[in-house]
Amino acid sequence: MKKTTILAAALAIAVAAAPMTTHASKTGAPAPAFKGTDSKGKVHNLSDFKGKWVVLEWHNEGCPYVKKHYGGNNMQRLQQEWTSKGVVWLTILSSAAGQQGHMEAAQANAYFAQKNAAPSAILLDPTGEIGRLYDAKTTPHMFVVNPDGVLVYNGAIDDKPTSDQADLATASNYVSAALAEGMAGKAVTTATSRPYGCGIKYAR
Amino acid sequence: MLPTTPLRAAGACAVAAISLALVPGPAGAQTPGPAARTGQGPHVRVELIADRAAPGPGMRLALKFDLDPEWHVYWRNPGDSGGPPEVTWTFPPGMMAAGLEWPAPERIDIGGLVNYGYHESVVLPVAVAVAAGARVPQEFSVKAAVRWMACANLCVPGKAELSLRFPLNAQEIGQVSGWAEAIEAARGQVPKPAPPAWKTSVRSNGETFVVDVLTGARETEAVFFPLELSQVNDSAAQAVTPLPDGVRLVLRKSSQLAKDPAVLRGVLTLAGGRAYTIAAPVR
Repeated sequence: MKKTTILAAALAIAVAAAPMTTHASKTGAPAPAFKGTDSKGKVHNLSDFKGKWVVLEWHNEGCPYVKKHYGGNNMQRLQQEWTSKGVVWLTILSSAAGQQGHMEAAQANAYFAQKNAAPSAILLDPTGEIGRLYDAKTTPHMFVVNPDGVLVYNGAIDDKPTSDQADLATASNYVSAALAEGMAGKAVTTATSRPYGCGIKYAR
Repeated sequence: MLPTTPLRAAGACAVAAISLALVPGPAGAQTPGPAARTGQGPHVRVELIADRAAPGPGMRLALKFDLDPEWHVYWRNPGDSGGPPEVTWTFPPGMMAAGLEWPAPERIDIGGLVNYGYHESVVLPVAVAVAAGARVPQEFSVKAAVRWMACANLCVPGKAELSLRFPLNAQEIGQVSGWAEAIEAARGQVPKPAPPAWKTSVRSNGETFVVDVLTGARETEAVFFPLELSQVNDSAAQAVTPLPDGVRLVLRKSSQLAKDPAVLRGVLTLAGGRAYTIAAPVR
């Protein structure tokens, strides 16, 4: 009986949340245009990066799956490697104020510096506007946009959906594969995968 | 890493401490006490149980999870986020575990994202197979290295090294009939194959799948749980329409779905706690 009530409640919430569902983030289609303010106060439009490869990384510092990739220096290494090749790497924080992973600008700058992270910019998205535009589900959730502004990858960071750092050694990284193939003029073999991680703590 | 993330690092630290504390357990597996049969992580307690005191054909073991209020662990397909419990078994030669059996899950809405999983308590049974010609020893230990993700609004991973020695000791023998009942009850909640008389069809219609399940009776409540990842948009509402002889569900496709699957498989739960596995070609 209790289960039915919970189920009914869950369905009612799901109905209420339905309008957030979009299919704007389909690979092969133009990446949704967005405007966001970074942790240095600078405003970025996706269209500013026309002609460059762009990576979007959804982040929540407290999420065990994110800790796997930052604790293991995996994400930082990817940021360094790809930004050194001219890729624009945007780390996006869509946690609402008061929720895990939310950071004000100064806090974000200190935290990412301490982590030796090397994104091009840290976008603060506490309203969840950019996250919902992309239908970003988890931290991490990764997207790759090509120089023509077309979304070429939407999904997980790699093929080991765990929070265990030990799995990094044997994981195959989807983001690196997409960038390498794309830059070589090839079609991206794995254009979508199921993102894995913690649900993004969106504003309700 | 730890000093900068005080709140959650404390959780992760606790996990590390607990697993470290448990590591010596298996080393002393020749004489595991009751403590080695159970483990815990933040908000989660887990134990290894059996349906009988002495090993034999048809034996089942199970992992029993007990969760703090509001916390959940995951079904085999976790939905939008999270991940299912994983276990690595160690048996004597000739014995092995079949796959975990998964009771029908709940739809759990966390701020607009939907997970499939279990609240409060769940028992995941597993059948133990014995190779033809292998002899089941009268005394042996089973070990289960378990790792899981538990989430409320936040997520905390946990792991435990569990061990159960056969034959059971006196204290465990006192509990075994309760364990057998719990395992039997969980098996009763594992979805059954759809009756042969049912007709299930799946039609691909733009951004949705239209699933008709003709059960022979009007069904007023239904929830579909996709077996495979990234086919159905987990967080989208499922439009349920009772039919005179069944039910229709309209499911939004996942944005990760590049092309329609040949077959859509899942679990259908209906009013009264009924749960069935269904599958139909996508047309």
